Amino acid sequence: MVAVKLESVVKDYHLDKISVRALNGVSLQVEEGDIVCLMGPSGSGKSTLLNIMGAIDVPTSGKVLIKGTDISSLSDRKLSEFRNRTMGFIFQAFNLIPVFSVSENVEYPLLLQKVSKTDRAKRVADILQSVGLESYAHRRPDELSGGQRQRVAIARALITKPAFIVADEPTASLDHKTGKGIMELMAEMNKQMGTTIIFATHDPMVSEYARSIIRVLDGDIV
Amino acid sequence: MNSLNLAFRNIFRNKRRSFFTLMSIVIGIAGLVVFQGFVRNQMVQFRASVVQGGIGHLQVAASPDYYLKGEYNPFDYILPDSEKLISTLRKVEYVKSVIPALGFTGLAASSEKTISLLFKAYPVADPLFANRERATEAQLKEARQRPLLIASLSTGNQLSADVPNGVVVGERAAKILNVKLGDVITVLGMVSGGGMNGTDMKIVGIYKGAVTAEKYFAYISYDFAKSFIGVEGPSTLLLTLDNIDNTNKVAGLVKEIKDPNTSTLATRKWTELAVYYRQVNTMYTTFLTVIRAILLLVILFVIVNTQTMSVMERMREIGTLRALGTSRIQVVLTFIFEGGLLGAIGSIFGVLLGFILSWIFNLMGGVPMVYDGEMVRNYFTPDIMSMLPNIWPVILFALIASAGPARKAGKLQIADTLRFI
Ligand SMILES: Nc1ncnc2c1ncn2[C@@H]1O[C@H](COP(=O)(O)OP(=O)(O)O)[C@@H](O)[C@H]1O
Ligand SMILES: [Mg+2]
Repeated sequence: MVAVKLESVVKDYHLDKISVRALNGVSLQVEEGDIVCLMGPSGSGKSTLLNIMGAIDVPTSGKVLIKGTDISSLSDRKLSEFRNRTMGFIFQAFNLIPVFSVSENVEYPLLLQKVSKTDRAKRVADILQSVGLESYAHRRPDELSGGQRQRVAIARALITKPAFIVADEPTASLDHKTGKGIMELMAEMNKQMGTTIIFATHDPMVSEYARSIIRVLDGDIV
Repeated sequence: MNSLNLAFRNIFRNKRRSFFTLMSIVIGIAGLVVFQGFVRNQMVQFRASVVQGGIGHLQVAASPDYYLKGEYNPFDYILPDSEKLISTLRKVEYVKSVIPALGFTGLAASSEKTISLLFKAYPVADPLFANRERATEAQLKEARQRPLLIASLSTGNQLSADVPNGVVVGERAAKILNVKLGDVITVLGMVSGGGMNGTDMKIVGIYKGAVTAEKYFAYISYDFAKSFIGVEGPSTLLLTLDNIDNTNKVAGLVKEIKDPNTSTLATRKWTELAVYYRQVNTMYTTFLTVIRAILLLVILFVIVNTQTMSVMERMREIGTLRALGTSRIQVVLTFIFEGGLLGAIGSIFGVLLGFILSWIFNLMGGVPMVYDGEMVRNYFTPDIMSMLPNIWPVILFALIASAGPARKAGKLQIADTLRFI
């Protein structure tokens, strides 16, 4: 099964009067259960590619099929629901909601799905245990270290059992050792839950965790 | 539900900013409440003095036409068999007293000038009504519940039986006529059945009142008026009630009275007759409306500013929520709720503070003011029952103010907000 498929995706950014081509007609596909790494120097187009695959950005031209669905045809409400159910996101800056506790952050995607309270509590407890943060459930994000925050983000991304996870430089804000821990956790989750993982990095150490590597350079796949 | 929870949390997040936003609403609304309390206290007192000033709580006349033409032609509207009607009216529930009155137009001339005056005539023999100087302490106490002839004399005395042809004129009329206390004016008036009559009237008092009243209204004795214009009875009856709040009820009861001599009795409530009261009331109401409008405008700007900053600060967070599956509309709602909550919390605490401040000011003795040469203490008595208009418009304006920034938050492109810088 194919998780994501891109066909001749072009992305132009418009800055005042000039336009910058970030993606140059990219075609690729990611198989379910895979761990894919987008490798390339800064400015090569990795983030742009990930955003399009995660349905949080739209291509200038080309086709995006996520689990066979052409997302360009969806309304905002449908697309939001689709994102909520189909993918998880992990960001370089963790992006936890500061007014929510650890468990509330993890619970949030389930709230959007209107999962019952008891179900939510059980699933949040389970996932926090598997990322090793069960004793931090009531902490606020600002009371955690960077590595712990990224674990919360991983738990939040996984709680909906998404088809795939998009992670843009997940270790770039962490020290080497903590970053390794995060990558090991993601690999473990892929093994346990079969979750497809697509991540971007320019760190060769981090790319070692991938099963397939896609090299990106100046908006092209090489 | 989600949006509301998030909105609530976010208010307590930037504590400093929320505090200042809320404070500007709280202080504004509290000030408004204190002012409303002051106005209300004034108006309650004013209302009492107006009713006692010769209008009564309710007036009864022979026909509604009287109020259009009666003062120029009272003869067609004289209440026949008034003694019987008076005793019937005295038996109506809530009625405390019934006083006959006459009104007519006349030309008043001094040695220098002639002007047109509206004469209002009341019985002066009754010490409880007009001749207060001769009343005992107990009678005076009761008199406070009853109409006085004229609210505030600047010089001279009230009308009394001692000077049957006495007249009390307003300061403006006295000035125009160039007369002073003790002077005599000549009055020319129409009499019943046609023709004219002339008489001398002695100025026993000069009063200060509403600008228009001062120029046109003059007060004389009821008996003197009857004989001067040649009528047998009153043109109106003034009713005073046990409680001003029963005015409407009594008006209804009076309309049901079947008087064999007149087809229908016309009634006028004090509010319909008290021009000056209405003017002051309108002035205060306008004043309050303007203050409220300014306040709402300030609140609008404060909340637009707060919410705009809130959206700008939380761009990345909005993007994150959207990536997690929050729809545009939910994001918009979060920010609208947030503004609405600020408005609700601000206005409710504002009302609360207003009541607390009023209470404190009253404990400190209110505001001393000189009124009619007397020291009067004015207190702050805001009405809890009329606080809703201080709350819901604030919430409404807060919601409106939040709509712009909220819409902007909803329109953000997710990828743009998440870009790592
Ligand atoms: N919002 C934007 N506006 C203009 N140019 C952009 C924008 N986002 C990215 N770019 C440009 O597009 C190219 C690809 O950027 P990006 O996808 O962020 O690369 P990477 O993640 O590999 O560093 C770069 O040249 C970058 O400057
Ligand atoms: Mg990038």
